[in-house]
Amino acid sequence: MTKNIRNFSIIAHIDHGKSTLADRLLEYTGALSKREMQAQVLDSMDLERERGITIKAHAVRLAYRADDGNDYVLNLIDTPGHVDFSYEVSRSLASCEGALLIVDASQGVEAQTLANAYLAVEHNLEMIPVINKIDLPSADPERVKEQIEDAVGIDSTDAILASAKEGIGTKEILEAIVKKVPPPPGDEHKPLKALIFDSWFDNYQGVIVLVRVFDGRVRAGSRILLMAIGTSFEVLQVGIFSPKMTPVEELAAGEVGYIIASIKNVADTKIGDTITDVNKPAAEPCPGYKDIKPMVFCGFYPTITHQYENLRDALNKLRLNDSSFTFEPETSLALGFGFRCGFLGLLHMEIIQERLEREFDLSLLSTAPTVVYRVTLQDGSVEYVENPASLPEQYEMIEEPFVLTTIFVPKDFIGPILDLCQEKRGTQKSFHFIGKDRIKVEYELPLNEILWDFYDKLKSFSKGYASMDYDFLGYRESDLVKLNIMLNSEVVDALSLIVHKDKAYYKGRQLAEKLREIIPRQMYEVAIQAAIGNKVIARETVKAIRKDVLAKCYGGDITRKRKLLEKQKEGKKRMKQVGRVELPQEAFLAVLKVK
Amino acid sequence: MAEFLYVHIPFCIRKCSYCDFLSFPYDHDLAQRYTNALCRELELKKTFAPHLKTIYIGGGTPAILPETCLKQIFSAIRKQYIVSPEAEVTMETNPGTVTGEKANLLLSLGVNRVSLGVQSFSDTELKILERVHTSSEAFRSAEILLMAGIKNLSLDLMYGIPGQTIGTWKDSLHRAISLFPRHISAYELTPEKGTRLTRLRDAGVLVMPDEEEILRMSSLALDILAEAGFEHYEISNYALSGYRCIHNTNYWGRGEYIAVGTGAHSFLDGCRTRNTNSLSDYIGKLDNLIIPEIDSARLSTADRVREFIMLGFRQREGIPLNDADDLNLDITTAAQQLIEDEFTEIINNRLRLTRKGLAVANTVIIRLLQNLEV
Repeated sequence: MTKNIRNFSIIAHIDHGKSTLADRLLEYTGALSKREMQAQVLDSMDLERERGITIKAHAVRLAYRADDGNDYVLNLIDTPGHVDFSYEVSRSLASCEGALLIVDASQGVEAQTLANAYLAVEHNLEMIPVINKIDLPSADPERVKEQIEDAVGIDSTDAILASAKEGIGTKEILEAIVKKVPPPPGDEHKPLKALIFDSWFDNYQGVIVLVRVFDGRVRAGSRILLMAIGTSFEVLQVGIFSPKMTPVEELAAGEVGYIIASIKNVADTKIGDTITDVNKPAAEPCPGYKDIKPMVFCGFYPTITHQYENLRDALNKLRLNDSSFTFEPETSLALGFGFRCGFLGLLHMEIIQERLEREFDLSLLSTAPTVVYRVTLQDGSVEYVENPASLPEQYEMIEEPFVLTTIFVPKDFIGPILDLCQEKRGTQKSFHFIGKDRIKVEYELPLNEILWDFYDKLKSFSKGYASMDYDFLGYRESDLVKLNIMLNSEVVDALSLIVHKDKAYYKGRQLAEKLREIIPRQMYEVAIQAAIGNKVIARETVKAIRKDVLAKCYGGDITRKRKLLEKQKEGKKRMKQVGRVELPQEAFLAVLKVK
Repeated sequence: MAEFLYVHIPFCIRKCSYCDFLSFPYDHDLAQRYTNALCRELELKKTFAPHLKTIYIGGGTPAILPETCLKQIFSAIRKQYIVSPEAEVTMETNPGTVTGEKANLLLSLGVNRVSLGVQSFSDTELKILERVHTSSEAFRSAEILLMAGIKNLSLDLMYGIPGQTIGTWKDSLHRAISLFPRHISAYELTPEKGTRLTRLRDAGVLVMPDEEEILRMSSLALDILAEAGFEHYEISNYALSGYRCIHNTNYWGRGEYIAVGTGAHSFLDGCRTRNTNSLSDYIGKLDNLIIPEIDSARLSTADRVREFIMLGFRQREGIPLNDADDLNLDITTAAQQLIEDEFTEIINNRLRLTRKGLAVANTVIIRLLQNLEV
């Protein structure tokens, strides 16, 4: 019986009030009392660490008695908020029939909202526009309505005016979900077909998989098959989040919940994969499965050599919970043994690095992030280069990934933004006014160019008002060269980068200059050279330290002197010795600071 | 058992601009109460060092104490401890506190080595350092001590003083040598946090000589003192043959010692301890016969290695590689690159700094410790 079920998600830009609204819905439907909410929120950090779940569990079941007198089951499916995770967003949306489109009443439509809204439209979701924060004095719901109609192309005459903070509009939203979102289709007598839209590793229960059941039913004891991976497991427990984890007898067509099946490795449960019955498999899987590939790569190296094993263990542990990043051992002449790691995007990379350092107490050195280049060799074979250092000497053609970048910006700031896109080798594809004062531009840009400082510049040129999103377009041939950095005449592989030929000269000089500022004076003079092929294009020198000695060892106070030295030594902890040169972490990221 | 005793006298006429050492303005009544407390501490600690090879009275300005106090301290030492007849007994003095009477008193107490805080023979420089004496007073003090029969005289000199030039430094060195000291300490002036000197420098009132100038000064000291027959045996210390400071050499060799007085440091049974800095706390504790220690830290293996390297390199002869074996350290391998690059060298089975390494001693020490992974 699916006619009383509604599956929906919430689409919103960061800070437009998604979590507050979710809290409000939980509270209104009695899933949590006000007191519990607070207690839960406070506990959420510990809970998250221990159990891998929070109150904002990625799918929460709400019980709601609507004005028509019927009881409904509303499944709220959360979506990650960042462009790095857009595939995951798309799988969450594929598990719903409807979506609340939350737009801030004063900020208006942002690029990220739009990207996810388009995804929702693609998935034929019923969209319910909600204009939030209408209690603020700067709220301008009419303008926002107009923007929604212009940009997303949905009728927003009936947009709900709400303030999640003040509790305004909560009931209207719940009623709209019941009335507008269609009940899930599906046939519980057909073979089992369930879509995985999230999974994580729990220390006590193994992998927990979140699914939307499209057809059939699943219960403890069922033998299931993961169609893309091809492995099968026996189900130990099925249940729902209410938001507490609550076991249920079965999950049937139209329902959303979790499955525990003694799966040890989260990599076995790929998001987007289809779960079916081993003995009575579905004819075909849910559409849209993609084996997502990392877009951004960098090397992680322990600053202390003997932490290599610890780093490998830590990467293995993190991967238990996040199958979207990859790592494999790599050796750098300069940095020794480390790992080349692949990420969905820069934010993803930052998150992983921070977790490695914080949770596993590692001291890491990361090389500058790079995209994957496609290189065609003279014999016609194709290589994917994830590390500039391993670009072959001779090749026929080199291609780099391009993305279609969508930017939203108030019209007052459009000038510098267009210049920025131009400078970053962009090609304009479209230019539209959204409402009277906002502009949406689309540019084709090399991914490499937006990796570094693009977003920061976009924000600073627009006083923080511009927003962006991007989509992978494909590989395109480019005139690229390898820029090498030499320290005391030795090429430091970890500092090599691939740049556009027109910018190589300028970049080489800037980089050499930046490195001179970053590399501290040391026992030896350090000669920094930037070279394209054999041609040196820039040279800088860091002079050797001439004097560094503590004159006096005061009357028996050895400890104080030892501590002074230890402090000085501590400052070098994050330095990596490359040949005879000690390089601080910033040196490897210097390239990011070059215009 | 320790065989070395340090006694701290924390009183001065006034604080010098560069001093961040523990000292208080002299007060007669306070000095007497302090002396009483000191004697109590000497008694409480006697079991840790029954036999003494050296006694070092430092400060502050120890010679500022009146005769009665000095006598009281020495008689307490001799009553509680057996002092070897050949013991080195040093007292720090400052020009201006030295009179013929005082010199005779020191001799009668058994002091056989005096360290005189001259610092400079330029009156301009002495003013900047805010010393209480002039250069002619320094001359007179040295003469008084020598005439009284204290042969083992050590002079403290400083380079890197604001306004100092190679010329005035050379002059100070020559004048020092002309007084026939047996020992010279030549320190680079380092502006320490919280001192007037540092504040004046930060305010731009005083300008420290630049790095190259200071390097030339330190190099000059090495050459001039070597020529005068002084052996450079520690980063800042020079001695004629047979006149190295035994007391300080024990510090650098990681030997045990006991210390009495405010802020004084002891090293016993692998523990480094420190007395309270507060005069009232010090006196109060000892009124109740409590040893006024506030910090006590047992050295970890890593700490021992760090000290071994750090103190070993301070001595010109360097780190004894035999002792390194006892600590299970493969220093030769760890120092390979430093040797190749001529920052260090092995002589007589000791790893020592070269002249080039000396100027960057800290960096060399840290690099070696990093290579040893401690």
